[in-house]
Amino acid sequence: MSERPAGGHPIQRLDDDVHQRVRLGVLTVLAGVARADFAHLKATLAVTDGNLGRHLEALERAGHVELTKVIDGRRPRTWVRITRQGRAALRREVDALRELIDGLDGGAGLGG
Amino acid sequence: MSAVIDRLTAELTLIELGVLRDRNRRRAGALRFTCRALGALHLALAGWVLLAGRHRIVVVYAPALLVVAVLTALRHRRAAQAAGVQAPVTPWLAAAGAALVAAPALSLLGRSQGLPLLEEVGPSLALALAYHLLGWWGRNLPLILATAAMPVVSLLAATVAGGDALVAAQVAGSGVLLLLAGFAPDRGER
Repeated sequence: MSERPAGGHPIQRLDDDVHQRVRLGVLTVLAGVARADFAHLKATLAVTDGNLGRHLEALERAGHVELTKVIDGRRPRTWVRITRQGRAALRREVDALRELIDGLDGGAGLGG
Repeated sequence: MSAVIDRLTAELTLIELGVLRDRNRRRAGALRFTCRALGALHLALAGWVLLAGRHRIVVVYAPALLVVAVLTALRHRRAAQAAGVQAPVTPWLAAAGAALVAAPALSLLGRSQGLPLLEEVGPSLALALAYHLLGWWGRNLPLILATAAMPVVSLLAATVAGGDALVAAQVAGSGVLLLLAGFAPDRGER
């Protein structure tokens, strides 16, 4: 996971491993459940197999999710679980987004 | 201009995540089986209170909750095979654990302070509050309504009974309400 410097513009605290629509969606879904399978994530986030697969690989490489591949009957199934690091990364990301909005509300001005 | 775009993007992202979280939490808040099991447990406990007395309720309630937790975990695991998503057990375990600590504490406090109403009604209110918060967490409307009715049932029972009979009536009332919540249809649950 990439370290972000504290302070400065909140955009500096957005994590490149997490700050992407599908990846944020994956982490948000997983944060509320014990685990979800690939098909559930694909249907919930309305993405293609390849797209979801690439993002899951990136999240797994960063240590934000754990993938478990099993054979269920005759077909392979991939279960995905969020890690503690993934929860923390999601929290930091949401905090940074809120900070970004609050900062602008606090008088940073528009059109900058 | 980039600040406006940053802000719009951030707001849209947060809104999207909020919608996703709420929709998903309804699925994660799958408590129908747990409510049914707890309802049945409470009805059985009401009989136990009449037989053994209200001060021995925790001796049975704590291990019984553990059994419900294990059954719920197994049920969620099995349901996950069909649904592709496994609901967590930890939120309701946290609620049950909090109720298990707060209920006897309120009872003891009421006894030590000479407040019989707190001793007899307090535990039931603690339980109702813990499960009510759980209902909000899981966006589980039947559980929210059932637990909101629990204090009313407890206070009504307190007007007509006292001692073991009151506690048994409260526990039975909670049991019926939990069973109703467990059998109520919930669109978010598979």
